[in-house]
Amino acid sequence: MESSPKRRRIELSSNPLPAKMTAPESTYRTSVQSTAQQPHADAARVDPHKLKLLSEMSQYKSNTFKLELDEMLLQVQLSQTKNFVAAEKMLHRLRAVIEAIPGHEGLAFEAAVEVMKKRNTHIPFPSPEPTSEVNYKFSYAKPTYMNVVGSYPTKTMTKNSGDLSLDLVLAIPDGILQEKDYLNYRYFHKRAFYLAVVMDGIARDKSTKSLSLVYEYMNDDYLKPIIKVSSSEDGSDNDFRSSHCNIHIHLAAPQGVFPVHKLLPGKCLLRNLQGLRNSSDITASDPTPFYNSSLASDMTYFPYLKLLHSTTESCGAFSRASVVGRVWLQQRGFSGTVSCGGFGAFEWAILMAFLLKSGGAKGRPYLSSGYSEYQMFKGTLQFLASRDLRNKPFFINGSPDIAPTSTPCMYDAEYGVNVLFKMSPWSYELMRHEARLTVDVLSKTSGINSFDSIFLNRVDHAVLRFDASSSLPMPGAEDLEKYRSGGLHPRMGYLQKLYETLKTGLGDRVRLIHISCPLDSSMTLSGTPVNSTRQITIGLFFNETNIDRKIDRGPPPTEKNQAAAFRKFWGDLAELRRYPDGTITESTSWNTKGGKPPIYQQIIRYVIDRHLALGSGELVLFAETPIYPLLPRSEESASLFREVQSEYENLEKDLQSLTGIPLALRHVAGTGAALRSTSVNIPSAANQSSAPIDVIVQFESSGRWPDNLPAIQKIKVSFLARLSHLLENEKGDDIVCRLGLENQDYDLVNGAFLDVMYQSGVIFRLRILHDREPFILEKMIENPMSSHREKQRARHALQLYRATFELLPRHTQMVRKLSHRFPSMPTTIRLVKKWFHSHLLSSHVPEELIELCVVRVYEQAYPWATPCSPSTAFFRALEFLAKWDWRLDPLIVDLGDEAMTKAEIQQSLDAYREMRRTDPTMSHCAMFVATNYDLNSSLWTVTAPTKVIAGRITALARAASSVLKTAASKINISDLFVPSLQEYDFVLHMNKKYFVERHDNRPKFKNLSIDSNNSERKHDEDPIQLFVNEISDLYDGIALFFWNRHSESHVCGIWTPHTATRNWKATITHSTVPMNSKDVISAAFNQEATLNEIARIGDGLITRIDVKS
Amino acid sequence: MPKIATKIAPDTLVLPLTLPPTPALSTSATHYLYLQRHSPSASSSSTSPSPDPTRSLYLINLPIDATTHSLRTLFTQLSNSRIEYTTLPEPTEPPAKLLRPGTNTIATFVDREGCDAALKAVAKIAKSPPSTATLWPGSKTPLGVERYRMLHTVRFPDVEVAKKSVDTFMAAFAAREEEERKAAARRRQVPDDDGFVTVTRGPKAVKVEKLKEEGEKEKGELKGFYRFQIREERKRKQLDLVREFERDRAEVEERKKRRRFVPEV
Repeated sequence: MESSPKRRRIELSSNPLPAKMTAPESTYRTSVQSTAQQPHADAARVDPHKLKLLSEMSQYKSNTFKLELDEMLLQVQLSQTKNFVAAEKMLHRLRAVIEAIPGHEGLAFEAAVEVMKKRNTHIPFPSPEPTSEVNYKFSYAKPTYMNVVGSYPTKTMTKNSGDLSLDLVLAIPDGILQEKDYLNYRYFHKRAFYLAVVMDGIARDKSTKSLSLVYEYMNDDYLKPIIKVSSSEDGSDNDFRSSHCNIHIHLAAPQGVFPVHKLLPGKCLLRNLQGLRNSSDITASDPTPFYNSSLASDMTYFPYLKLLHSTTESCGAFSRASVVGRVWLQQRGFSGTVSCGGFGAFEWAILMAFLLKSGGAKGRPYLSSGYSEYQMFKGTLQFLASRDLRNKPFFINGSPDIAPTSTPCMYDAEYGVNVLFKMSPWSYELMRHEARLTVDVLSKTSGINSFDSIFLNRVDHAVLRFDASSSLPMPGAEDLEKYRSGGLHPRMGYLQKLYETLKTGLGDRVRLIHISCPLDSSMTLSGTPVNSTRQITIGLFFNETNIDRKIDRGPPPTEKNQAAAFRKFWGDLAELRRYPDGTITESTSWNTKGGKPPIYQQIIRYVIDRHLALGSGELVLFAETPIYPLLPRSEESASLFREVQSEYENLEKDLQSLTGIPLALRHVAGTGAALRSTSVNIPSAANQSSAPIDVIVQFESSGRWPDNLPAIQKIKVSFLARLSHLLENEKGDDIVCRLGLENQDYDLVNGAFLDVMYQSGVIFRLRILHDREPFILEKMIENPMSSHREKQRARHALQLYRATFELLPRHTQMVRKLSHRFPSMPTTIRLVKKWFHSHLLSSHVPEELIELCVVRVYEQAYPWATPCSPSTAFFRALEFLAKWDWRLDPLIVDLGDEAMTKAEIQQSLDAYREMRRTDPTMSHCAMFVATNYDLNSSLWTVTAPTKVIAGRITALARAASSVLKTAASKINISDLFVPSLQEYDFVLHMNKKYFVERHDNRPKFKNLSIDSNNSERKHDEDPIQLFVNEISDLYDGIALFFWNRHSESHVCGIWTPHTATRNWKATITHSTVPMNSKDVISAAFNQEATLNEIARIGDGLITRIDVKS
Repeated sequence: MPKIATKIAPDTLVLPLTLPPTPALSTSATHYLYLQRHSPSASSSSTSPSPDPTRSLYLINLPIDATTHSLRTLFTQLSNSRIEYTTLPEPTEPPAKLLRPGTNTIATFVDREGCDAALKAVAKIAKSPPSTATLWPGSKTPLGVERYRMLHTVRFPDVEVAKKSVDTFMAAFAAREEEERKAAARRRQVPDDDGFVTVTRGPKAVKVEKLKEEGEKEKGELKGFYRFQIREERKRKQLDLVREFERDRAEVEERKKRRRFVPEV
């Protein structure tokens, strides 16, 4: 047994086939057929070719993963030859035009400005701009050469990646630059002039006049303007719209013009800014890493293009892996631009190329050129996740002395460039976070398919991604000028300061702070900026244990410097405190009394106000509107259900201590939602309308039970009566019991229960579990003598039994366990339940289904991190519901301690397929849910939600999700809970006397006791609920009713398509009006009479009926 | 605009019934009851004796609160005909169970004359102006809140009452069980008409099943002992791999059809 898999592995690894799967389709087909015909064919007949194919699968996560990856690559690949004919032609023309531009020799600043002013072309000098005081000269000469770089020549372009562009690079000739130009923006100013001449040349040339030209900044780098050439729209030669791309014109510095050792990240290259506008004449010595690498990277266009080409040659999977990486980055909102993290497809490819050379232990390659694209992808992510490039920079082609900084460093010593220079501390944190998440999911062996989440889903919506997000405006240019430092743009400087301030302020309350803001936008030919609204978005990942901490301890006053810094940072809020353990430290204290916002929000507001000038009257906005007012008493969510829990323990004790029951009590199991802390309402004395909490009691087995279900149900009645008598006798002061009957016209299922009411107002509903029941039902189903109807009834009864007595206890136990792992989960569940109720779906969606959906949001949080705030988890639950294609996919939820095995998941999938095969119209289990305790029957959803309701859920969730994505920062969560009543055919307005607005704990109208003679019976069944249940039953197939169990002011309904007019028949099952139409009598639906019936059934409960006209 | 029909077929008549307005709905509505002479073939349940066709009517599309009592009232009003019985279930407890919409019933009149008179009266109504529509008498027991109040008392019975009803049920049940047990015992001893004795299930069968399972277990322990077994096991695994691969391929194909591999924008 042991040896066989091992041997197989050896065979596989010795396989000489390359990593690409290049099976000719025809041979493949025939082999498929041969096994299909003989599924149990002799092993000798296995096609050796196919075994080879299979062996390649070992280079991937799984068969499916490999096949999916292939398919996705096919989908995103751009057919470059066909699409880019027009753009290629355009490139040629542009080259010719640029070749012909006349030169300018040695112009002083004023002359240079004058020349371009005459031509009405703006020179995009990066700020600080030069003035006439500068003494260097500006020139233009024909570029030494022009070349196309980027993803076009490497054939790694993809569809769906926003604006496509072809990158044309012009090499500035040697003579124009001097060695010292690396200092004090000189190179960038000369470069700007050079670019302006090119811009002017293209704009003036007859053949290219009609193109639309703007300046943009290369990857948001304010130092490096480029030209964006967009197609004209006149159908002329300049119309290359058919290629759906733009052309970017970049400038490259000649290789070696600046000595590499002068450009090390630790050097200061902005030493003397004399003669530049808006800058004081001070000399500085702070390092200018961004400036240095930005400059150095202008010398790397051609070497890096060469590097990518040679790596594509030497590593078969390189270009595929580049595309895979590009898709992964894109879905996470990363790109090469500074505002999107500074890590895009280019950086990804260069990183892989470097890792193929070095990066491993003792300088060995981290990746191997024999890897498949999957292995390359995973390896690269692993590198990103495990190696901290801030403390341990990655050097290639040498090992210069570079001190660790707060930004990551991947330094190419040959060209003096830190490839990651555009990354900010926060974007690097986020990148590592994402890499870690994906590596984790790739390393998991569980059978749940995560392909979609890795590559197909977009995951960069701040409200879904972070535990909390908020936005604030970017201050105006004048306010920002003081944040200019170290060669950074003032806006970037401001964001840095904001980041540091938030980091100090929030400390270990959060795991990660992310900041994003669109930075630079384009400028027209004449220099007018295009669009400039800027909003900073802050995203936080909570540290769940610390986020609500009331007191922050600072340094002790004896550490003078630190204490002073602490006081300086917190101002008046800093106070000396003495703690019970005797220590005295500087501290800050916070509270949320009196409806104050959550502590972290208070902190953010405070530190921004204190440390960052935002200008007058501008407010910090929080996207996370408080969710708490939406739920009854959720301000202290952890302790909310404690009372119920302790009352339940009392019940257990009281039951165990009873003497005189005919059979000994074996087991008590609470199964009510309140016992897993997930009911919307909290049962208590104040809450008169709280629903009874289900509890199952099991007695020791006895041979004296009859073998007949109706008789068993009757015995249960007398058992419960006895229990009631005993309980009231012994605990009469605290307890009131009430015997109740249910399912009286359905004698195969449980027929009686006992309500036990405690003084606290908590009611438990006890039902007796008798383990013979399922056997009797199974016998009935198997019995060939049973009629179809009997079998059907027995099957239904068995489902009910299993759901109530077998699954619910396990479900309760597992959800309770999970809520220890995910403290915010119960609140989320309550919120999502509330959402379903608010949209009037109370009677259509089983609460277990809702709970399982939320569990999935936590358990399979990927592509996001496990949520730590109920609001984010709530949004994600809506997103999940919006995306879940229940017609084609089952929901598989793993709630166990031990993950479901592959085989178990396969079993669920098979059961799902079988169910859909036998029931293609989805009359049952429209939403199929498999869990650890119910792998293949989806018991919770057999009858509800129906297909229609499931469709409604999806539509509602989609609407909510699109609101979330578009109006992210301005969203008011409570708007998501407002139902729209216009869509219904009729609306019944209910009598206030009979309902309570249940989320209000001080009911305005006490639930009217129906039986006023008996004072014990305070907690009566709600008549509106009885009414809705009854009409739903009665008009099943005629109308669908919608209501909110927690706010019963309306019951809405729609007529089903069954009520359409048809030929008259005696067997029509709704009230009809006979109509003369042509030669037959047709039967129209009698809506008036039906509504009149409903009004009579609900006489007294309904005050008014509105009918849609 | 199609008009409301006054007759479905020569033998199927329409009886409009006025439903009075309610506090919630201020307009009155008209319910349409259809009547046919009962013909046994139409509702052929061969086992139970069919109601006498000469004095029975087939009533189609009853109001949800119709009972034998309310139908009696209706036909007494209409033609002074007296219904003897209907096929509607007799109410057992005070709050009547409501009928599903579109329920039909056979009403058998005391005599043939009554039945004919009823048909004649309905035919006459069809010819008269609609303002003279008949008022639906409704059910005797109240609907609405009153009814839910009653349902509530049924649902939560007094413990003593419940116990008593259980006792009577169990007594009857025990008697029936005893009867059946005796009958079964008799069957076991006495050969039937063909001379066979019925074999009933005993504990033996279970034992055989158990033995079988144990046997299988022992056999299983010898797996992987011989070389050929190992070889076969390996081949089986290879085949499994191939099959798994095929399944995955089919699944991906399926998803491809649904255009599921395009990254979201």
